[in-house]
Amino acid sequence: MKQIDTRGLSCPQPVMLVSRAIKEDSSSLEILVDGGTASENILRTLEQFDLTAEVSQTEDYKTFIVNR
Amino acid sequence: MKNFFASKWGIIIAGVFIGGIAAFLQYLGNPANMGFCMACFVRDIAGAIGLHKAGVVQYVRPEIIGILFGALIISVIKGEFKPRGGSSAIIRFFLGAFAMIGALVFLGCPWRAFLRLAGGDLNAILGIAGLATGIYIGTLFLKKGFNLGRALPSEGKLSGYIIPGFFGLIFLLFAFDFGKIMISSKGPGAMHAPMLISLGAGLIVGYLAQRSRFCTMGSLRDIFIIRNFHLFTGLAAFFVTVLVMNLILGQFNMGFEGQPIAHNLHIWNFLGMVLSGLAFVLAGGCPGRQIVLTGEGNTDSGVFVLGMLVGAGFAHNFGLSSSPKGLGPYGEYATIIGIVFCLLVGFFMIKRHK
Repeated sequence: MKQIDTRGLSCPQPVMLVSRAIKEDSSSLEILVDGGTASENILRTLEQFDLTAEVSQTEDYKTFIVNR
Repeated sequence: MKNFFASKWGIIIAGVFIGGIAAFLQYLGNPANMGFCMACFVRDIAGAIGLHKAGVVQYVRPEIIGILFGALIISVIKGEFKPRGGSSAIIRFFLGAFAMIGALVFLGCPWRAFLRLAGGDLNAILGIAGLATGIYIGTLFLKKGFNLGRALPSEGKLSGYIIPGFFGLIFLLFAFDFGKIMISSKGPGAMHAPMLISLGAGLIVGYLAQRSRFCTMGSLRDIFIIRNFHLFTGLAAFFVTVLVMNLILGQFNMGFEGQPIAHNLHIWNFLGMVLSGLAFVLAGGCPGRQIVLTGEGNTDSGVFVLGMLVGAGFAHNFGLSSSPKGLGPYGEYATIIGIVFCLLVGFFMIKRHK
């Protein structure tokens, strides 16, 4: 499981980090996201790669688990 | 996805409404091809509070206050109001100032560049080409690992309200005619739709832009860097709507010569927008987007907006801003200095991601 912490990053870095990680290898991902924009953009990116995420919400941020 | 405006049709509908409102504001009295212009409008506010003394461009544009508060209100309702900051604030301040200077050399922010083109002003083609070039250069830095560092959540909510409060106060002084707010009696600053209509228009656009994440710079950046056309469809919908509305309302006049609040110095239309486009990529959003993010409590974007305000003051006080007659006496120097500044920021802030 690879962890990607996108919290506090400006656009488009969250998406760039996620797509890079998807292309690098096929390990599962744990993505930490703290903004509505980043969250939608990441979901859209996952869709492009035909991936889905389990989303869980903690107080300040969301965690996306992408199993592959 | 739960947020309708994040869908494909959502961003298109947002673009249509934002475009329609922009064209309508022009019909109701805003300067030609200036339904919205984040650069011009923030510049007018800078003039209204005396940061510059260009008598023809002083007005407290209610659209800006509306966008800021529209975004603020909806983000509070949707739980997206999250005060945060601390990502290279001082760099963002100067990116904002130079983005403003570049926009005032061209005479418009990216929103206005597309509004100008939709009004038939072919000089905007040079501006948009410059914008695309600046954005492309910016994406090269992003690919190399450029970033301004993480923003952290602020202690408490107060920080997020300060910049909206500051603009809100200026607006109240203006609306109740209290104090020494300066308002143009002639020139573009004296041309405006009725105050409450402008304010309402701003509130709606703030709402739409916050929900849809509408971003003119992001539209092109996402194509260059992740081959994603999502935001671009919104921008295209915006452009087409304004074009159609302009044709219906008799606001379309095609050509290079005699265009409203524009000049036809092609190189500087191009380079002015190269500067702005590059500054927007490095800061992560076009000026409209920065205002929306400020409404969401992002104090880094707030600092960028303050940089725009101060940059506008400099632009007019020191002869950097263009006018329909042509460049300001020092506009060329400022554009070059700005581009060099942005390139230095780009090179110095390249980091390897861990």
